[in-house]
Amino acid sequence: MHELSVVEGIREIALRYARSARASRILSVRVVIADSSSYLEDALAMFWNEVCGATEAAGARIDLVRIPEELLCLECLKSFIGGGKDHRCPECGSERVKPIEGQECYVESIEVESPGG
Amino acid sequence: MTVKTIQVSQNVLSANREIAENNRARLNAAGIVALNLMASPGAGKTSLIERTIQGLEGRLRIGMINSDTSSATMDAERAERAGAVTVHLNTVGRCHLDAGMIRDALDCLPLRDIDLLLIENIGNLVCPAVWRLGSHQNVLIASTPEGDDKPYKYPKMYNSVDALVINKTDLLPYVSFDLDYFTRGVEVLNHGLETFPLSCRSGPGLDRWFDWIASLAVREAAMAR
Repeated sequence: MHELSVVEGIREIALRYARSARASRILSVRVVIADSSSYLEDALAMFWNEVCGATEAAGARIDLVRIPEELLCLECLKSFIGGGKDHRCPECGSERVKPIEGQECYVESIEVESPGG
Repeated sequence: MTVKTIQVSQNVLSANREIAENNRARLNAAGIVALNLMASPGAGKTSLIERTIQGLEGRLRIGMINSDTSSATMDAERAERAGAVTVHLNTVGRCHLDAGMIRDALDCLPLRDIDLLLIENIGNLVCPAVWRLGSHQNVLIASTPEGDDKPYKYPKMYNSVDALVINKTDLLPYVSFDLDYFTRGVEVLNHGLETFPLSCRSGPGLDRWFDWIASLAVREAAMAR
C-alpha cells in the first residue's frame, strides 16, 4: 500500500507538468529511486496502471532508474556507496556513518505528445 | 502530433513535505508540541499514550490523533477515557499516515485548548519513516519481546527518528533481548539518539519520559508567545 501513495504522487507531478506544457497525452515517465528506499518495483508498476486510468497518463510507460545509497563516514568524512551488510566505512572501518540526504524518489522527466507541430 | 521530453526533477514526496510544513506552522502558531509515535503492532503505543495522558494530567492539555487501518475505535476510546481530546483516523487499509490526513485531523481539534498533540501512527516499521507529518519529534517505540535485531532490520526507521522508547523493560528477564547488541545497532544508525527505556506496566522510566515531553511543551509554548 506504500507504493500506492508513491505512484499517486508520481501521477500528480506528471499531470501537472504535462498540462502546463499543453500536452494531450503522457507517453512515459522516468522515475529515479534510491536503492535505500523500500519501494517494490513490481508493486509500483502494478499500481501505476491502476491510478492512471482516466487521465492523460493512461497507458503511459513507467521507467524506473535505481541509484545506490550514498553514506558519509563521520570519522574520516569520506563518502561511499552503501550496500554492505554492516554499513562500515570501507576506508577506516568506522561504524559511525550516516546516509547523505538525497532525493530518495523523484520524477526525472516525462515524455509527452502534443497536438499540432 | 509532436513528441517531446520535459525535464521535471521533482521529488515524489515534495507535495507531502509542503503540507507537513504547513501543519508545523499551524502547530507552532497555536503553541502546540506534536509527537509522531511510530512502532510495530503490539509494541505498546496505546498503553504508552494512556500512561502519558495520565502522567501529564494537570501539567499539559493533551490532544490525540489515533489511526487504524480499519474503523476499529477501541484505541481512540482508551485515549479518550484517559482524558485526551481525540480524533480517530481510519486509513482504510493504508499502511501509514501522511501530512494531508493530519491537516484534516487538525481541522477537527480545538487547537487553542491543546498543549501536547500525540499522533499514533499505523503499527508499521517501514512506511511511516518516509512520510513526514509536521510533528516536532518523531518517536519510535520499540519493545523487548520484538527482539534485539530490529535496528539492523529496519535501518530507515531507526536512523530517521528523534527519540526512542524501549518499552516492556519489565520483560527483559524472560525474553531473549540483548540490550547491548540492540543499543550498538541504534548507535551506528543514529548516533546519540535520545533513548527512554521504560515499562508502561510496572512504571520505571516513565517519569523521565514525562519530564522530557513537558520540557518540549514548555519550550514550544515559549516560542509561540
